Amino acid sequence: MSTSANKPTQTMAKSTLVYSCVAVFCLVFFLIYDQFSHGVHSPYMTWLFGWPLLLGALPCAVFWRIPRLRRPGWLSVRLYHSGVAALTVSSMLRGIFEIAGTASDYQQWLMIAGGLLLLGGVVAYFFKK
Amino acid sequence: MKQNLEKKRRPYRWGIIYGLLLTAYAVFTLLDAFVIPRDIVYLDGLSSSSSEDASASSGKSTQNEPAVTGTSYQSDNISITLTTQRIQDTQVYIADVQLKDASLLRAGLADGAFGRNVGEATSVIAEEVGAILAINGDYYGFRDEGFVMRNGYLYRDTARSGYGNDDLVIYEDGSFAIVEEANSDAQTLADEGAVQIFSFGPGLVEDGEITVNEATEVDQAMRSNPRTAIGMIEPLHYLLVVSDGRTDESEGLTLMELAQVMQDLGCQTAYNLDGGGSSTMWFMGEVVNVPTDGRSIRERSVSDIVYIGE
Repeated sequence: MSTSANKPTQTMAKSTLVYSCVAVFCLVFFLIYDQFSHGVHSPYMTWLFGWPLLLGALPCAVFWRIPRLRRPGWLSVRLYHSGVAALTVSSMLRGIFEIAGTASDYQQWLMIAGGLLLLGGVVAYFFKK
Repeated sequence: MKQNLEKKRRPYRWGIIYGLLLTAYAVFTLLDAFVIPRDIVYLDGLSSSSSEDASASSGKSTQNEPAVTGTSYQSDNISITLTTQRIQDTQVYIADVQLKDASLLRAGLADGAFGRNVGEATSVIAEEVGAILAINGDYYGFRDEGFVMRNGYLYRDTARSGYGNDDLVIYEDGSFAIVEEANSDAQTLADEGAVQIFSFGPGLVEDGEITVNEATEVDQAMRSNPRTAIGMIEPLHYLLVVSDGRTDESEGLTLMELAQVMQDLGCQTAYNLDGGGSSTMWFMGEVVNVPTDGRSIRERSVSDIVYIGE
C-alpha cells in the first residue's frame, strides 16, 4: 500500500530501475556500435554502461534499500541526475570520436560540466538543512 | 485538482528541458566534428603555381609525348609502373614511381582549400589537380592537431598531444624522414627544407628496418584493414602502396604486415597514411583498388591526396 511516508523510497526504486534500463541500453548500444567499428575500440564506449550503473543505479539502490539514510533534496537530485546524464552522453561522444580517430573540445567541456553538476549534487546533499 | 496535476508534472519539466538541451548539444558536437566545414584557408593558385615555379627551376626535361598503358606511364620526367600482388589473402596495389625532380611528388587538397571537414573523393581531387597517379593522404581535416604542410606551405603547426605520433617529412631534394611530432617544431622543419609534412603514422620502416611490431601496434592497427602507405627506396624513387580489406576477396593487412611489404619491396623509409575507407589508388582517370568502408564499395571523401603530376 502506497503512503506518503514511503514515497521517497518508491522514487529511489523507480530511479534505480530507470538507471538500470539506461545501463542496458548503453551496453546494447556498445555491442551494436562494436559491430561497425572495424575492430577499433575505445574504453569510453566499452564501459559506457558503467556511468549509469555505478553513478546512477547503485547510489539509488542504496537509498532505496536503506530507508534510514537521509533523503536528498530536489536540488541535489536534479544536479546529480543532470551530471550523470552529461557524463554518460559525453562518454558516448568520446567513444565515437576515439573510434573514428578524432576529438572534440565540445565533448571535453560536456565532460567537465557533467563532473561539476555531479559534484554540485553531492555537495547539495551534504549541505541540505 | 489542477494544482495537484501541475505539481505532479513539475518533476519531469526539468528532465525534459535538460534532456532536449543535452540532445541538442550532442547533435551539435557530432555535426561540428564530422560535418560542418570550418577553419578554411584558401590559397588561390598557391599549390599549382608553387609547383610550376618549382618545375620551372628544376632540371626537368622538355616534354615528349608520354607512353601510357593501363599499368604504366613513361615520360621524360616520370616513370610509373603499377603491379598487383596477393599477400596474406590481401590484394595489394603497388605503384613504383621514379621521378626526375622532387617537385613532381605533390599534395592536393579537397576543394583546393585547407580546413576541417572539407572533403572530396580522391578521384575528384586527382582530376582537379591534373594528377597522373594519386593516393589518399593523411586526412588531416578530421583532426584539429598535427602538423600540416603541403607543397611548401605550413597550414598547421600544432603538434598532436602525447608521444609516439610520427610525422612523415618530405624534403625539397625528395628525401623522406620520419620525426616524432612531440619532439619537433613544424617551422624548424620548414626552415630545414621540408615541403610536405603528413601527420598520421606510424612510421613503418626507417633506415630499411621495420619500426612497428605486433606488440606495440596501436589498437586501431590490430585488425586487418585497407591500408595506404608511401615509401622511399631512394630520393626520387618511391613506392605508393594501397591494400584492399574488409571484403571476402581481400582480408586486409595489419600495420606489421604492411611494414613487411614495404621492407620487402626495398623501402628505406615507409610511412602509414590514412587507411580504412579512405584507402584509394587512382591512376590515369581510374580508381585502381576497391575502396570500401566495409558496408559498400565506394570512395570516401578525404581532405587531401598525394599525387604525381607533370
